Amino acid sequence: MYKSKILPWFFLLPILIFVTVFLFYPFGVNIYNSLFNFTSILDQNPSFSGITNYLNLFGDSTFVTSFTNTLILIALVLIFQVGLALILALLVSVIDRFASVFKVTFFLPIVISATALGLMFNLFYDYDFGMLNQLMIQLGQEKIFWMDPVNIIRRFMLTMGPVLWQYVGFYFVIFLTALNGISSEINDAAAIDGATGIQKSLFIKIPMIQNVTRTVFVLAITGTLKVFDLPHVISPGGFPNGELHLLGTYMYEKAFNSNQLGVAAAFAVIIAFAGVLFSGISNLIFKNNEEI
Amino acid sequence: MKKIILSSLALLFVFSLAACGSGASEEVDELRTVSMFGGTDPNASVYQDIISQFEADYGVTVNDTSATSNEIWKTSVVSSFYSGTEPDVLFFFTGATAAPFVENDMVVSIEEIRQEYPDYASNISENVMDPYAVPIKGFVEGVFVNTELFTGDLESYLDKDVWSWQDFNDIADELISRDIIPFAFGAEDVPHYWIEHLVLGFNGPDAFFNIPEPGSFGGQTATADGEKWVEALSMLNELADKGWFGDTRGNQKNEIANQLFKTGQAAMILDGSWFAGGIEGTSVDPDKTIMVPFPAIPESEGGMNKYYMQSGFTSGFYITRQAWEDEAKRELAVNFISEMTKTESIVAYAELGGIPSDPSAVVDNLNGISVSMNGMPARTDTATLPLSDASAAGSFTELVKKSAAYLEGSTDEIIEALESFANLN
Repeated sequence: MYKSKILPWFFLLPILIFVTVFLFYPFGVNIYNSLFNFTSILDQNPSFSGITNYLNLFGDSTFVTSFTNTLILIALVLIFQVGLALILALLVSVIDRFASVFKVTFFLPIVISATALGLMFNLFYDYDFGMLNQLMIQLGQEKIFWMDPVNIIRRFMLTMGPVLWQYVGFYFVIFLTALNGISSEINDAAAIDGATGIQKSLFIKIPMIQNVTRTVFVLAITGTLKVFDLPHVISPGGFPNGELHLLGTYMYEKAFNSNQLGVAAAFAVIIAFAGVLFSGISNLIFKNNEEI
Repeated sequence: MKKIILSSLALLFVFSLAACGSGASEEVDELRTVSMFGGTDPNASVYQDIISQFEADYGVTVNDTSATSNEIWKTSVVSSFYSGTEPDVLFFFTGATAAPFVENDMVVSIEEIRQEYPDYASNISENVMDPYAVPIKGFVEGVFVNTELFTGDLESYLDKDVWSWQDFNDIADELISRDIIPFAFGAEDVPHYWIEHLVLGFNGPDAFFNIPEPGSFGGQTATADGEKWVEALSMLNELADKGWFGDTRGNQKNEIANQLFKTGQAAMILDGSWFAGGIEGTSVDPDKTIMVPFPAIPESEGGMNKYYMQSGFTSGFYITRQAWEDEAKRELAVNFISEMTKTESIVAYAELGGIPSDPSAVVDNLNGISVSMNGMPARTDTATLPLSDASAAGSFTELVKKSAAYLEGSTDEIIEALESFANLN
């Protein structure tokens, strides 16, 4: 397209400089900082601690809990969030009327602030003033303590449910765009051969968007590793007793509440490497199909 | 043509870089300020009014970036010193929170300022003055009581200045029998006051400054002092079992707990004087609200019939070293703080609740709760800084994060939390 090879570089260089200065360099500094103990953010002479911060983290039961919770959330995201997005996209891709209404409806939660959503769900769940219990009273039922910390599984699901719900629309749009890219001739040929809607979805559409699904999985995994705001608002501090911490919320606690900046830096390194590792595993399982 | 486009882009790039550089120069008629009087803080309007008047009187622009205080805000203010983008004047916490920039000589001491400006903050009581920060008002913590719910047998308690631990138990029993929650408590995010007051009530004020060594709380190396701390925190479970915190046992957010008090569903709430500012306009009448001190808990080291109060002047105005060394800024910063802390300003702040730092500040037309809060020192035996301020920075979080374990009465987790806390002190 360009006769000169300089012009593309001219436009690429600023963003490369930007990413180097604001991403690669800070990440390098972060790895370096993870080997030190800081008494405060202004500590000019932090003491070298080697890999102690990493060892302390792996020996910390709340870190293990937060890691386990994050893995469970990744599984839930892949099954329910991505799965639901795919089903909705398959359904919307075959309707002719009101498709735009569904697109907007499913996408809307993404544009709402996660903090606002968290506060909204808090108002749903609250025992004394919550919408769910107002509904129970209207139905002549006893109030339920929805967020009872003793019932930890229910509390986990009620905390993570909004996380799953909020980003369905994001993957829905990606899947829908991919589905719309499938040639209508293939669909028509399948219809002539007598394929049902479900058969077309299972044997034509889903296989043909395999490469997009692979990308969605990587986005979902890396996105889940960073989840912070909604759980932070709904179950602050991983309440109860840090049992509902995710990697993102526990790292925040270490950095901003406990003032353990070296440990928080080690935490960030672990999250970054976990992202690379899990994405690599996902790519190994779901290989790129170059024939599509 | 291509050469023209390339040359234009190159020039644009160079100019944009130059523009970044030129932005670094500061105008001397501008003062950059930061405070915690942002968002819905009741003090924000007074603070902004004084800024507007200051701008008009001195012909300068005050570039104020105040925000509601939380952990991220505190860290961002401290880290601004690291990046060299600190404000000229800041209203910030004293003690451990400010230690990073105080210890690095990044703010100017009152003593140094007074060498050049001898009358600086001379109206402020020396008893409450921090070595670096000029306070405007102090706080007291205690039990807010909605007296309108104290009818029948409970009315007699309103004639007493203080309530003993037994009184609190009797009052709670009576309130529970009337389906009124005795105490609104938000253990999910703000268990701080209960943790601190139970430790205080159980162990006495000296305990805050003699935190037991790690290993003292359980096992073979446990000490009597350490075990008292465990007992104090275990008491939350006992109180929750008695029904003091309602059906949720306090496992709810502070915002909801506040609503329970403000809608009259809960009779009492343990909080600081800043809570008073939010009572106005709710179904609770500020004139019919009082504050009573938290009592010592019998059979404890605290002793019988003793009443303690967490209070202090733990925030104030600082001048940064960077502003002080800029001669044009120096006087502006001093004038700004002088306007903010003059007697009239302190009266305006104190009208919203709190103890004025200026002894000559007389606040007229105080509502009932403000009168009651101002009378707290006379009704208590000892005042102390809160445990969160008396302990090392970041350590109190170790106690806060296990609040559910205290309510459940899990001794192992209580000991684990106390060990983590003691390790950081």
